[in-house]
Amino acid sequence: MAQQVKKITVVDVLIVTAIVITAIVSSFLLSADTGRRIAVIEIDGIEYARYDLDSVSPFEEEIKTKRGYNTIQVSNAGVRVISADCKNKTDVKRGIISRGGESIICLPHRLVIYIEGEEAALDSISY
Amino acid sequence: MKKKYIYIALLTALATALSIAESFVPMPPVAYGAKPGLANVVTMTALALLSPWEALGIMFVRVVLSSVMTGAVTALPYGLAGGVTAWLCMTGLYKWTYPKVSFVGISICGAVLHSLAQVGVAAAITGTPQVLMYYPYLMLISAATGVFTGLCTNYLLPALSRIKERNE
Repeated sequence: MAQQVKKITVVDVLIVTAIVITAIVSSFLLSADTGRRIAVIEIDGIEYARYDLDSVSPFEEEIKTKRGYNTIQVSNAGVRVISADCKNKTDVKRGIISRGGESIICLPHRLVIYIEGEEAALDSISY
Repeated sequence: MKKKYIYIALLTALATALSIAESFVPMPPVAYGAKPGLANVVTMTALALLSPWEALGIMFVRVVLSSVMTGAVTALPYGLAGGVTAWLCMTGLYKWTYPKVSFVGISICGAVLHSLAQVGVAAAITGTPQVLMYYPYLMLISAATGVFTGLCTNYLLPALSRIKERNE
């Protein structure tokens, strides 16, 4: 016979709150928003190039590997992948990244681009 | 009873269809790499109405079929790692905490661990541990989708509870 709909319990609410707090706190701890912003490009875990985003002059580059190509665009505004021949185009859809801790990952090509923020000058946190 | 196999087949088909359907749902760039995880509703339903092993089997077949059907075969290791981790976590929670924790809690824990496993596999495959820095964002998104799929399961179970009655 028709069973009752299970209601959300107190423990559910506690779990959700704990997870949301953990996520928010850790994302704050991990994002280094100030300081120099270095874009690091790694292929297969090996560093391919790094660019200082604050002093770089804009350029586009096609990165070719045996798995395919990704065309990246680097400028003071950040880095983005503008075209690629991977299947899902997740890297292109990701858009531009510019803040410390952000990353673009193209799994089929084992390509990772991330922004390395130097130790954040904590100028916006107050206790 | 052999009726059980019919339910397993139906749930597997449903889970696969949900997986494929949600691969067409465009996700905003802030949530790139994330997906709604609707098929988890089916895994949890199987967990509650059949048994953990049947839930694992349904999850496994669904991940393999949907990745072959959408052509995203490179995504298979991530999908399986995430699926198995989430299954372990949800089975444990269901077994030991179920009436106290509803499927909202079970689902959110499963979703959060699912994405942790996927990011972990991504970091291992690309050899770039910095990939893990993306995890907090994914965790937030997983929390939201986990609550949604958990609510879906809470509401779906009474309607499907006859599966259990007929098997007994």
